[in-house]
Parts: sequence; C-alpha cells; structure tokens
Amino acid sequence: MKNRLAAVVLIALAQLAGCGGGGGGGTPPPPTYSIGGAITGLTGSGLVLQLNGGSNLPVNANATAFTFVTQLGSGAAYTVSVLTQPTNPSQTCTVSNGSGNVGSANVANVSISCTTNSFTVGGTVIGLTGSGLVLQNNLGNNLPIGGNGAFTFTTLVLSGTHYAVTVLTQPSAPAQTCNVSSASGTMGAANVTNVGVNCNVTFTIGSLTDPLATQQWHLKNTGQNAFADGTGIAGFDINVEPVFSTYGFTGNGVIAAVVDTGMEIAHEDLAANVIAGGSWNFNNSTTDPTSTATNGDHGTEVSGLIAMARNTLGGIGVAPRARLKGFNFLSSNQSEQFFLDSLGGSTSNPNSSDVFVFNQSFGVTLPVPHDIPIDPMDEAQYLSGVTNLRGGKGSLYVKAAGNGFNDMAQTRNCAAVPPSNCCIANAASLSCENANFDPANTLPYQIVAGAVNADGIKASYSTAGSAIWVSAPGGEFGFNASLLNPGFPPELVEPAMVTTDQSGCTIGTSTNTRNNGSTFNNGGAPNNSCNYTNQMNGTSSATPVTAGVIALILEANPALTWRDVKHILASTARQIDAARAAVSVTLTGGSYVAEPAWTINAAGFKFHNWYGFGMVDASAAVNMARTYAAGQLGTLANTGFIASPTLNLTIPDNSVTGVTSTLAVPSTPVQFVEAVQISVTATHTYIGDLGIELRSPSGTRSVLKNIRDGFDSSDNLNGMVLLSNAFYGENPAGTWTIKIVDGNGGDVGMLTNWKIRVYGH
Amino acid sequence: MNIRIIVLCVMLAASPALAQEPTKPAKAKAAERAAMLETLQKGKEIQGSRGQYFFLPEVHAVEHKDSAETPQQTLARAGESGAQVLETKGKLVLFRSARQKPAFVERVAGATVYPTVVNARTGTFGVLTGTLVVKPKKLADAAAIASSHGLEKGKEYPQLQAVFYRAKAGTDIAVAAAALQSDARIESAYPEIIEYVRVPK
Repeated sequence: MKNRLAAVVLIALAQLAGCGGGGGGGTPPPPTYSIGGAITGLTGSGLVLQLNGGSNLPVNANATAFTFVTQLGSGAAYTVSVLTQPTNPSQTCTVSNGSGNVGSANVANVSISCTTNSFTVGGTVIGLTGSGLVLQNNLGNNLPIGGNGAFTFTTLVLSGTHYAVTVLTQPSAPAQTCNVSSASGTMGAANVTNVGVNCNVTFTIGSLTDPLATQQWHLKNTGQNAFADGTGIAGFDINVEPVFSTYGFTGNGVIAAVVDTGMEIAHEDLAANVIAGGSWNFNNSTTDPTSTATNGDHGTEVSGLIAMARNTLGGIGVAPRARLKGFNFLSSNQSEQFFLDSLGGSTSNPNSSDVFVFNQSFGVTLPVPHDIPIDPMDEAQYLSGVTNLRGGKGSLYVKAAGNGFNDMAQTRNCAAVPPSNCCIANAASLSCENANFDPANTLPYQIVAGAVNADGIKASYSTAGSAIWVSAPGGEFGFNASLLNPGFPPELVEPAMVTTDQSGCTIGTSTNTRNNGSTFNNGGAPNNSCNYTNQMNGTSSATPVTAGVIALILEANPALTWRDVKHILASTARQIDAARAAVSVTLTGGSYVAEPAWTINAAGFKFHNWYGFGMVDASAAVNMARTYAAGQLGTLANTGFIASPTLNLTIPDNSVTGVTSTLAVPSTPVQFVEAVQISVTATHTYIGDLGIELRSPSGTRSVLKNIRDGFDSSDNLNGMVLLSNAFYGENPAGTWTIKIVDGNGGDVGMLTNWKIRVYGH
Repeated sequence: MNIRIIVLCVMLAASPALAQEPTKPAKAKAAERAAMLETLQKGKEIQGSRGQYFFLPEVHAVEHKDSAETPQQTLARAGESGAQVLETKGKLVLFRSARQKPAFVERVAGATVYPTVVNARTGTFGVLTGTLVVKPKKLADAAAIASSHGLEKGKEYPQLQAVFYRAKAGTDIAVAAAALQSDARIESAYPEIIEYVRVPK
C-alpha cells in the first residue's frame, strides 16, 4: 500500500518538473559568479584556501590559478583566506584583494602569493677543550665556536633545501677531532637544533699511559700473552683502534648499566666514569653496589671491560669515557621488582630509565634442564625498554649466550658412573647448552653475544645457538702452567681478559694470599696492587665488549634506534673461522648435519651458530653508524604466532629422516626478517635427542636446537620458544619448514604442533 | 666469572677421556628426582606466571646472609639445624623441614622463612616471596585493591600497567593470589615465584 502511494507522488512530481523545464512560466534563478584568482610562488603541497570561512579548496603544488566551486550571487560579500599553509617545502601564502562584494561578473582578481620559509641550523657542541674550531654549513657561513654548548648558523636555510654541517678547522691546543652527527638533511618546517658536534682527543693504543692497555688483546691483538703463557694471533681483535685514532670516540655521553653481582664504584680505574649516586644496591637500598664478596666481584670485572678510564692506571675499557651505573641484581634475592628496576623499568631508587645500554653478563640456571617459558613481566619490560627509553629510540640490551658448550648445570665428568650430562654432546663436538635454553635469549629485543678467544675462534666454553647475534672477545683462562697441576687442558694457559678486579690483595680474583693460577693474579708485577685480573673470561666478557662497542656507535650517531644498532652490528661483523666445517653425525639413513658451517642467507648475511653474524668490528660499525640515516628500518612488526593444527607426527628414532611440517607466512606485515621465533610442542621421552631445524622460503637452513644436547633431564617440549637470527633480511613470505630429528637411539616421541612468528619490517 | 672456578674443579676431577658411547646418564638422575618429588606432600594448587604449581607445606626456603655462609649455617640461623638441604637458588636455601607450615612468609629467629612450591610440569622448586604481581585494569584502582584484599601496596610500573603488593604477615599467599585472580578489577595476578635464578655467564 505504501509503495503504491509513493509511486503516485513520484509521477506527480515528474509532471510538475516537466512543466517547469519547458520554460512555460517559472522565475529563473538569480545569476551567480565564481571567485578566483592567481597564485604565484606556490611550490609546496597541502595549501587549502577558504571562501567565507568554508568551501575549502585544496590547491595542488605549483598551481598558478584557483577558482572556488562555490559561486556567489551579485552583492554577496566574499572573503578568501588561507586555511592550511603548504609544506614540503614549508611556505607562507598571503592573500591580496581577498575580500569585497560580488558585482555582476566573476571575481578573478584575488591574488595568492607564496614564499618559501627559511629556518636556522644549529645544535650543540660537547667535549671541546681546544680552540679554533670553525664549523661550516653548506661549505660556507663559517661559524667560529668558542666553547661547548648551543650554536646556530647565521644564514637561514630555505625549507626544502639541503643543509650540511662540516668542520672547517679542527681545534688545537689541545688538538682535537670534532665529529658531527645528524649533520645533514633537508630543511623542514622548523629550525634544526639537533646537529651534534662531539670533540675528542684522538689517540692510539700504543700511546696510552694506561700500563696494562697493551696487554688487552681484545682491543689490539698483537699476539701478546696477556700475562698468560700462550699467545693469541695478531689481528683478531675488535678493531677499535681506528675509532680512537680517527675520531677519538670513547663512549662519551653514553650511559651503560652493569646489571650484575656488584660494582666497586670507588675502584681507581672505574671511579672517574661511575655516575655519582646512579648505582643501586638492592640488599641495603643504597647507591653503593660494591660487593662484600671476598673471592672476586664479577660485576667489577665486567665494568672494567666497558669503561676502565683512560689515565695512568690499569687498562682501558672499550668505551673509556662511557658512564657507568651498577645494579647488583645478581647478588640480590632476584625478585621480579629488582629485575624491572635493573633493566629500565624504574625512574628512582634506582633510576635505570636513562640507561643507553644494559649489560647482562648472566643467564638462567636450570637445576633440571628443560624448556621454560619467559616470565611475561620480563618480556614486557624488555619491550618497554626498546620502545620507550632513549626518548623512544630504545635502549640496547646485550646478553651473554652462556658458557655451556662443555658444561651446563654440573661439572662435566665423563668418567663418572653415570657420566655427567654434557658428555654425549661433546663426544659429537656439539654444544651441550644452546643459547635458546635461556628464554630471555629468545626475544628479538636482545643482542646475544658469544665469545671468541685470542686465536680468533670460538672460546672453548662459549655456548652455541641460533639466538646469538654477534660474537666478541671473551678469552680463555689466562693461567700460567707453572702454577697448575700437570695434565691441564691447553686452553687454560691461553690469554683471558685483562680488566679490573676488587681492589687490594686480600680480596678479589687477584690476591697475594693464595695461588690463583697466574703470577699476575697472585699479585706479581705489574699487578702488585692486585687491583686487576688477567683471568676474566666467558660470554660474560664478550657481552661488555659488545656493550662498549655499542657505546662507541651511539656516540658516533646518537639518533640511532636500537634496531639501527643491531642492523649495523650485523652488517659490519667480521666473519672469523670461515673454514670451520659443519659437524655431521651418522644416524640411521645417513649423515646428519647437526651443526651447519657458515651459511649465507638469501639476503647476503653470513651466519654461524657459534658466532652469529661474526665478531664485532668497532671501526666498521662506527663508520657505518656515522652516516647511517636513523630510523630507516621503520616500525617493528610481527606476524603473530601462526600455528599448525595438532599433528602428532612420529619422529623416527635415531634417524636422519626426521619429521617435517610446513607453515605459510603471508607477505604482510613483514617483508624483511629481523628475527624468527618458533614454538614447539612435542612428546618425547628424552628431549636431549632432538634436533630442531627450520628452513625458510628462500631455502636457508638454521638449526635452532642441536641433537644430543644437554636438555636431558626431562621429557616433552611444552611450547618451547626458540629464536633464529639466521634469516635476517630475507623476505619471509612463503612456506617455512620445520624438521625434527631424533639423533640418538632408545627414546621416541611425536611432534604435537608448532608455531612460527616473524619479526621485522 | 665462574667458569674459571669450574675449570679449576675439572682439573682436579675430570678424566680426559670422553664417553665413547652416547649413553643417557640423565635418565637416572631424572628418575631419582621424580622419586624424591613423589615423597613430598603437595598442598594447594597455585597459578603462577609460568604455569601451575603445588604448594609444598614441608619445604621452606631461607635467605643466606652472605656468600660466606654455608647452607647449613643458614638453616641453623633459622632454627632448622639438621634439616635436609634440597637445593639452593642464589641466596635462597631450600630445605625439607620436619615442620609443615602454611603458605605465608614468617620471621623465625632473625631469619625470613619463605614457603615453596613445585612446578607441576617440570618438577622445579620455586620460592614464594610474599609478593603478588598484579595488572589492574585501571591503575587508579591499585590502592582500593590493596585495601579490599588486605595487602600492602608496593611499587607501580605504569609502563607495564603493573603493581606489586606484599602479603601482610599471616596472609596465606595462595589464598590471596586466588582472591586477586577472581577480582573483576584485575586483568591478571599471580604470586611471585623465584624458580630460576640468573648467574654470571
């Protein structure tokens, strides 16, 4: 009924309209006129004009005329105004003849005139002690600098044009090298105030007056013995001397936190770099985390490797002017609150939120070796740290891979009955511990460091695994044979690391009250003070060496994000031990490559489970950092976990065949892999048998868990998360294949299901 | 660094010969541990951040004073001389006591004695510290939550939307955790359990 009525009305309206259209007697509408005019000088985009406070008219870049769509009748008032000024370049447009009353013709004489804005270029000078520094912008506008602080060039720079700040004249008396960061760019719509000019005195390691520096092989390996009996091979070091001698970077302005057992804040070679009141002792709620232990303080040894000061004492740190905070988390009861407080989650008591790089020379103990999930609060803090700290650029978290190649929860003793847990792995030349056993290492927010010795190969103890990002010197043991019982392994007398020890000869690793295994650590010359040790080692050492290099990188370019730094480290790491053969094990059906040799992935990155992307190269990293456009990796995205259905696939016992399963990863949101996690659930009566590997759509193979490893005291994997960095830079879209191999006879099981999550951009 | 000490031990204890046959020594250890766990009385089930746990009424933990104190000295200080040491976790000595206790933290003879749990899946011991880690839906409710559950409010971590609470003396941690977990104002809550300690590596 309603439809019928509506049809009648429509017909009637149509008839009326027909009458009107025939010109038979209606009143014509009054004429209207357009409003418009000319535009000059417009090069930017985004200009929006308004007519009488409305009728918005977007105007394209380079337009020379405009006309509003809205027309006005004769006598109507009009006012043309600018709602939005153009950008890229930033311009200011003004209106002439913009208002009046419409006459009997179109208004066409409104004039828009646009001029490009100019802004200043400036920044801050730090570290200047010499005189005569002159800066230039765009090779002109010479600007003499009299001291530290803010500077601004007098000549304005047009928006949209280039600016480039350089040093025309370096300071003298003393001679310094000033390095410019955030030096160039395209002028936007505001003054540039972030150019950094960092002045340093350059030096060589040989010129230092720190008496132990020439024995610090990790800085410059000349084949010295570092007070041990053995020697290293010249050239296997972190190549930091060019950073000192070319730029004079020393970590100035960078804050490093040593999250460890303690820090002797008054140590003669640390005190100059320790931030007064910046450390924290969780055991007594004071700002002094000096350890009360008498047999050595791990944190003090770690601290020296980062930032022993440049003076006439001891050696030097990799970043000898980095500033230090010590948080003695490892000596506390290790509550969750102390963990958060140590790693960037606290702004007072202690303030860890201003830290640039966190040194974590620690890992979890596994009294019963089995997979453990990460505590969600731990993961949330790491994510928060990389998201929020350093003004949103993210702090760096450097973490030890572990010292479990030969031993894990117990001392290896293969003669015992039954033998200890790493004998099976070591008999096959495989790592007993895997870096993936520590769940914190399976987060993409970490930089996991393996250790290298002075011969440029993996340190004897260094835990292997696909979660390693880079490796760095960690050394061997630093003993003297004359002070050991016969029959010791050869690595014991190879060089370890020279660093700070608890002060004095009655406490610490170095004392004159007992045999500590080396003349140096027994208080012999040149260590009569016992304030230093030549026996520091472990991935505990590789971690602060890496943290020190990061401090140099961040001094060279403070604008870098945490992912920029990771990218630079991966891109510049040095391949070592290149001829290292894969480790193969004979299983039923043939030979199984249990530990691959160096692999080159589809993006051209070389990777090895012992070394990650290789040994850190400070000079190459700093050189890359200096000109690296910060933030170019964009926003970190991830695919979320993509899960298989329940599979219940039998894993053939002791067989090279293994079991495989595939999952498809879509082409969005990640086109460039930064890390890949898998989560594996399996039933098996001896998890130590299982090797877990992953193959990317590009064909890159990564072993995320070795067969015959130390994961031997429990059965089943309950969604164990493992991470691989081996696929860095690849496009993840396509089919990923997991393969699980049982590498030892007698126990059986099934792959229940698995998941994959890809991080990247 | 502590591999230095380990290596010194190896020098004294280890045979240079590696096992020729890939035997599986840990099976015996695992069976031994499983048998030991079987003998422990299990109490209430507790939901922790890493899964399900059971309270162990006869296993307790006490914090040692410093690195020079032996576990036995620590136990003596807590009035538990002669108790069986089961494990150490950093500063914490876990022991099996002849006395069963409820799941709350108490001071005994100048020492703080903590209740313990066992991970239902892995058989790993954990120590209940008396702290409860809570993510309220609104941080503004943090004080009211403390009040209504009889807890002491501790530090807030706004970036994590988290608040730490302390159970007052005599408060059963398992009961408090369960009450928090059923509170509509709360997104998640669990008792802090120290299960794994970090060591220098």
